[in-house]
Amino acid sequence: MLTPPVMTDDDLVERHRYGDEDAFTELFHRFNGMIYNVSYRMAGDPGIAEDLTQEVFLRIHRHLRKFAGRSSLKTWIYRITINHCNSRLGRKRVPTRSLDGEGAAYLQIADARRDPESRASARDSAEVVARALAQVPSPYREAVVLRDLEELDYQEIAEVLGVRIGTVRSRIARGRDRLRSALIEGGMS
Amino acid sequence: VTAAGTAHLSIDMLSAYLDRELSVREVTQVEEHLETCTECGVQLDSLGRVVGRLRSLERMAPPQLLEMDVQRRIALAAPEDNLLGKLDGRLGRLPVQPGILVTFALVFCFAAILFTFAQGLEDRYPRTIPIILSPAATSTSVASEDGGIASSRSRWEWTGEEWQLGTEAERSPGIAPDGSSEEFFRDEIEVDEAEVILGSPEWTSLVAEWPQLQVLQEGALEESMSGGETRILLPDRSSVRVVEARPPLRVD
Repeated sequence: MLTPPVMTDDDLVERHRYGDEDAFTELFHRFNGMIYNVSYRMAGDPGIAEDLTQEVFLRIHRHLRKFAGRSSLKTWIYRITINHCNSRLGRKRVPTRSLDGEGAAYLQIADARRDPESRASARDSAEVVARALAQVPSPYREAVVLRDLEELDYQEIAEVLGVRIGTVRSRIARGRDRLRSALIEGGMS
Repeated sequence: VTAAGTAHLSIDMLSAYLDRELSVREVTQVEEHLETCTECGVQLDSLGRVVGRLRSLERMAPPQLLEMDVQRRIALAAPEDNLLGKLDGRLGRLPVQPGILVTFALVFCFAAILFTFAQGLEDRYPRTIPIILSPAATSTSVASEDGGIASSRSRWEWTGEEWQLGTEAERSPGIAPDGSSEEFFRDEIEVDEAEVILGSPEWTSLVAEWPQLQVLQEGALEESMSGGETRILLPDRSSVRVVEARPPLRVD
């Protein structure tokens, strides 16, 4: 049985340019997790992250036809996401909301095979780290998120943020250092 | 500063070491330092734990209704995203940038307006004076064996009311074989160029007032200004084409 060829990101852009709405649907499925997670880590709140994600997709839909391909589509979408988060949230520390309340409904741990006890422990730990991350100033936080959560290398982060690699290195280091201090303050060694 | 008097490793260096983003030389430098400095080792472990905690965070699953919400918002933003967007998309498919197309369109519109305006002006103020060239002047020279030359040149000139053929003659006597200065003619020499001179002061001022003056003729044309005259040299006299049977402008 023949399997259909996998479409590249460039193919999706081209199809969207020709008015194929299915291409945008495919693009949504490819990138919605990435955008939502970056938004969530930048905002520290699942409700705000959802709004941010919708707005980012709106911006992508509006500007995708102008995408010139000077960077990869993934880099371009990361850049839109980070810029939009900074624009909406301001370049400051964001308030965090406890995940025990309403927001906990959004916390769907991907690995559902864990037993309830370890899931609860992981959730508590994740909550502390998420709260500490929210205390880190935005320029450092975005660099740490892209490196440690999105696993981009320094070159990719430099392209997303539009800064030099030396700046990326410095921001990541300072972000981790601030996070370490925040974790100690939060009782986590 | 370490006990050995060397500087501790910077947080930038330790962090990049964890990410394997250092050069070989820097890695060697860091590892040599860590062999002797427990303080930097503690810093590195501590940073490593922070990175470990971050990387152990689970990825969040997006809300299930996210796709529907995004589609709804795109549909609500339809006027901007769909109409202009589609137009923009079609422009985007062309092999040139839309900006260049717009620039060309603007230049074209400007040129079209300018052309229309110029046409209107020309209808009101014709920029071409249809003049009549007189029949080509003829010039003949007759040379004698002793080097004497007799030239005669005829040309048509506008008197103000009509064209008149005027003739100028010039003689340069040579020396005859017997030593006298009797004129001795032998060959006729055709002049290569016909020369039409719009040479009267009136014509000169007229030409000066109408810098767009055009001479309608079929062949190539050379113009030169000399001594207050407008002199038109026609490489081939047969190329002159009379376009009107009357002088279009009266010169008093």
